[in-house]
Amino acid sequence: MQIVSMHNITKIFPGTKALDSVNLSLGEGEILSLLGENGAGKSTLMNILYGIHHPDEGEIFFREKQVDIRKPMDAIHLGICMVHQHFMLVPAFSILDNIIAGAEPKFGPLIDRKKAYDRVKGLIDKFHFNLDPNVKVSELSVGEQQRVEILKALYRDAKVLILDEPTAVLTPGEVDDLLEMMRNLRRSGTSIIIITHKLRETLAVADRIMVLRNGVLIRDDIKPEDTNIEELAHLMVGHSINLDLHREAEHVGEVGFEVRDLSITENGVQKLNNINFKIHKGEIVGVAGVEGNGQTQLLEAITGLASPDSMTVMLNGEPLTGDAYSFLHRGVVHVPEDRLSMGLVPDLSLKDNAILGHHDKPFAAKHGLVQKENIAAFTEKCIREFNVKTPNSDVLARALSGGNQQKLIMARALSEESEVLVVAQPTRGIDVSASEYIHEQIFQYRDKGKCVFLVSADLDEVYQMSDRLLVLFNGEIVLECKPQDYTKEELGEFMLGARKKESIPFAKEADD
Amino acid sequence: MKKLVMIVLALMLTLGVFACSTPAANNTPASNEPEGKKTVKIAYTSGKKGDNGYNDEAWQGLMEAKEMYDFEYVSAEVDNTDPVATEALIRGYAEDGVYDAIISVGTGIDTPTMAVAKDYPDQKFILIDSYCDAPNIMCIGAISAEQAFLSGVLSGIITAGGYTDVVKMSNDTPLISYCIGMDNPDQRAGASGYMAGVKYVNPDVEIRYTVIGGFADPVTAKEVTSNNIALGADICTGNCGAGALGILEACKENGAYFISTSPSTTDYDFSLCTSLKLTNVGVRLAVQAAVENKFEAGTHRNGIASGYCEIGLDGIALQYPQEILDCLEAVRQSIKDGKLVTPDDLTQIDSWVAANHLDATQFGVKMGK
Amino acid sequence: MNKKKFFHISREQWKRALNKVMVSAVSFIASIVIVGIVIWISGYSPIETYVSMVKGAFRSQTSIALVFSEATPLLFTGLAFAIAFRVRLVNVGIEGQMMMGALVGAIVGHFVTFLPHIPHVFFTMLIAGLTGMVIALFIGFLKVKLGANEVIISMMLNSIFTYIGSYLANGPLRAKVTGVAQTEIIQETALLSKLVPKSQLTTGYLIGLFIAIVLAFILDQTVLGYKIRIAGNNRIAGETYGIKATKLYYIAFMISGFVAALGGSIMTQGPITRFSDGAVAGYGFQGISVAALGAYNPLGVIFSSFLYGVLRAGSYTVNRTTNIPYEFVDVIQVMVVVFVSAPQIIFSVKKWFKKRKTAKPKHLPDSPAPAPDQNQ
Repeated sequence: MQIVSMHNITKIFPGTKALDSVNLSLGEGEILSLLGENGAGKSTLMNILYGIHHPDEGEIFFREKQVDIRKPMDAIHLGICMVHQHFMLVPAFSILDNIIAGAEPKFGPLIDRKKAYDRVKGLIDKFHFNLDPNVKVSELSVGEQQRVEILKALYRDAKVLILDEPTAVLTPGEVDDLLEMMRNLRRSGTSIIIITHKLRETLAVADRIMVLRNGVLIRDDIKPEDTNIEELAHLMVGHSINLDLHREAEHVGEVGFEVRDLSITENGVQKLNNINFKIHKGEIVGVAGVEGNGQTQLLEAITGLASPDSMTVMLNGEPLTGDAYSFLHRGVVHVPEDRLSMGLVPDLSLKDNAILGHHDKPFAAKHGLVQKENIAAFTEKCIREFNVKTPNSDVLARALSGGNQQKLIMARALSEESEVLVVAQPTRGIDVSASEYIHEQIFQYRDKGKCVFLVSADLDEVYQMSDRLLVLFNGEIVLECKPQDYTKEELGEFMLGARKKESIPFAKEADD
Repeated sequence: MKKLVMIVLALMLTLGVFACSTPAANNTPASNEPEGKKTVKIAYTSGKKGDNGYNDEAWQGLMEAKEMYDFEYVSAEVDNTDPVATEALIRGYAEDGVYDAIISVGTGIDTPTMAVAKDYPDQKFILIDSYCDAPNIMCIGAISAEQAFLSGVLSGIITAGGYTDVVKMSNDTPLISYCIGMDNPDQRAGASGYMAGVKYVNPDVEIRYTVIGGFADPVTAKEVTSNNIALGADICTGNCGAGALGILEACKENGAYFISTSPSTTDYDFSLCTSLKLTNVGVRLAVQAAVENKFEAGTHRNGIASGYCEIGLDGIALQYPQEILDCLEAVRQSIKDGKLVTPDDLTQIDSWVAANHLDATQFGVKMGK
Repeated sequence: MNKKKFFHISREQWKRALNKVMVSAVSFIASIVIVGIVIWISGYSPIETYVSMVKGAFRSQTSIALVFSEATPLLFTGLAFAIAFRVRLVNVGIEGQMMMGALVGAIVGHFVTFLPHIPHVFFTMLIAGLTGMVIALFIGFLKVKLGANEVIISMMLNSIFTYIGSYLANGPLRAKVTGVAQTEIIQETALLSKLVPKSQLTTGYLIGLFIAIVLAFILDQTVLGYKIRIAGNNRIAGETYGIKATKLYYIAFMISGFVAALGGSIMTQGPITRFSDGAVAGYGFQGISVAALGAYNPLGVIFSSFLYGVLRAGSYTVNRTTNIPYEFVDVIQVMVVVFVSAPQIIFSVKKWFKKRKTAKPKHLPDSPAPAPDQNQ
């Protein structure tokens, strides 16, 4: 029996047809994986089901009755719940409070906490979520927070659970836990739609796979057992792409960038403890680790944004000191981890964004006046060379898709002379073809004999891109290795602190 | 977007039409009107009405004048602490060019009026309570000394000690507390009027005189007054704007009597009387000057004779015996008759008191126990 | 050719500018309509009121001069607020800065007697402006170094400066012959010349226009303006790429304080001719409304201050010729702030209109059949 079916859904946004007559059906207790690149329409489709958007055409049936879902509350009443990529939790509240907020069991005018606790505890035990309802959300890991979000849905009697990019922020171990949880839910009759572009997980958990491309339904009857990653990628993108990222470094030169004795204490907590590493010219050094183990502090320190307790940075054998400005102008360019808050000014034009950081270079400014013509030319060059899809260079940065925003940031970083590229989360939330493009650019940059420092929460990415890997746990480098010497599972153990530091004679290996 | 353009265009058109069509209507100065019975037109400005005080009183004067004289008026309100708005308003009336006189009530409107008067030399301006010198500005104000003179006489009688049954006195040494806001000629004149009034009937009274240093400082006024009451003052008065509230509070707390300069700060249980300056009389005089063609540039001060200054006893809880009222009436009459001239400055008091003395007992007033 | 490129405005920029103009225009019109309803409820005719306002504002050369003279202080405070707001600073301290500018202008204008006309005018304005700059810098210092909230600090400072001004006007600097708290009239040499005879309009308005154009130029054409736009839109991104917001806070506060105090001095050197307690009160807060209506753009502020000039000049006519309480003009100004700062109201109204428009074609999917028929 179909729990949800959507017929001929069409949604037109000004200028584009986001969805063109798309059908979707979901069975009771089925896990449906919705695949597609960014902009393929999968989020729009789910937003329609969840009542955020309203379709221009088409009908939605819930348990074979036609329904009109105008707002998320309508969806929730039907039992359709969505877990967003960005969690909507109050960090200062306990898990229990977060879950019951808005649907508190009442005892007169008061909240019946006993009843609430019992129910939440019951759900946790039933699905083996392994959480204590009284712990504050601020103390939870990302994976645990996601479980709270799912619990929130279950607490509201979700029959259909929509998960938007659920694995984007999880470590491999956490991903396995999540997949297991999903299977548990399926067993109890919950239907799940998972929006993703992670093909491996799709294959692991889905009962059925549905692929959207440019607002059009390509296939919705793919069985995981009958397909493979290459085929899915092909279906998504429309052409075949290279999924094996790794390219050997060819010309590893002398040490270009070196960090010594880096320690940072924030609010009395040791965030980084005596970090030392070197990057050779023509080499990508990647950092793997669960988010929150000091990556942010490390990035801030080596781009001059934070002032550590102690640190010596050597660039081409010369000491590098000062603030973000000096680092930038000595050639340490930065692609920050959070595009929208750190990398771009969403409400300004592409031109304004393109010269961010270059704004007082001679081509952009003369005698304190901005050189609009040169800036326009520079922006055009960035757009052309990095294949940024945009109508023109005057549109606001927020109008671009995530992938194009990231391409613009990369273009900005690499279009002017530089020595070291510090790049964080280069492909987070970005579709496959844009990711491929960005990876290619990073390789090309390395092959010009430059240093690349890569931080990513996506272990696959770090594993495949890096020539050398650092594993960061609790503010310390617990492992330095060549990626091929360890399996991803082994690395996961290091990332979670399950395996202790092995003595890698850092100095010896780095100097050879 | 097209709509927006249309709206803007429509708006501009309307503005344009008004801009072209109106000047003709205003170019009819009063003097050009046909002969015969010409109605006098007056423009009137004051502070915001509804203050239960000064501005309402002035408005009442205009209404009284309306009963007495034949004229038309237009009126407007403006905050007199905003010289820019005041000037704009008065300038607007002057530009209209149809008013025989522009009467403006309030302090501090001299500078704005001067600026307009310079540009419109043929327009007559009459100011009440603001003073300046221009060939087309007439200033009407009170004789400050006379405003408080009768209050002074009453205070002198009371402090002599013959009426402790009517007005309770705490001790035998007569002492009066007097606060002024600023040390300027006008304020000094007011103070000397009061002091002269006291000593006119009772030369032995000591008056403690303090300059507060501002017109918005009830705290200091209260402090000074409380101190004086502790020294034995039974009557406390002053002329210091909002400071009056501080004096009144000190009187209430320590059981002394208060004399205010405005009905708005009069407390019927604690006030001995009120030293009135009747703004409505001023407005009446201004209208009269306009209607009866008695406009005369320069400053015109009016006092008890014209009824501009008066002692206010209405509503006061204290019941004064007839002989006191008779005595006050006699003093009022001798000022009206010009027999008695009040001193204008503190330095003149001693010689004035030496030359002028009223034996109040002739009216049956008890001077002393 | 080169010049054309220099001021080249692309389609996208036009679209965004028009959008902003639309928000302001709709806010303004909506405020006028709402206040019109209030006037109507109070028992007066809104049409008559507005007509007599506009008539009054445009009836003669001098009344048009009044429009601009009323716009003058608002132009300065509007610009002062707008420039600070471009780095997301809420400088409500312009009220106090303007007042101190007016006070210092009165002091320098009165006590400096050795300077000839033009130098005296500019010297007075300069010292007054610098005073405002120092005050604003102090607020900036408290914000940047001590993490104080600039709104609270400047509100407190406003009170302090109001009392300082009041004290000086009542006490040490009080004019000899005067009924109210004001200083002596400044020297003739420090007075700005009248732009239109028989009016309050002085060359100060031109100075305001000049400053607006300079600020617009700075924002659009200079690296400083670029940094201000970056820091104002996304402080973190700016700092990631070496644009220090704190430095820009100082600069924006300095410009804002300078312009506000300059406006105060121009009032002293223009229509007021002295410092009078309370004479420039309120312009600072009205400046917030002016800046908001002008979309925080210096050129927009020229227009919005002009509109308010019309309103205020017109309100004098209403005051003079009718019994309608002219305070409704203040209500319009406040309503404008409400609408402009909550543009969502306007957008939702727009959406609602759109929905109504598209309500009919919504049935189209039901009747796609006729099309093939026609083909046959």
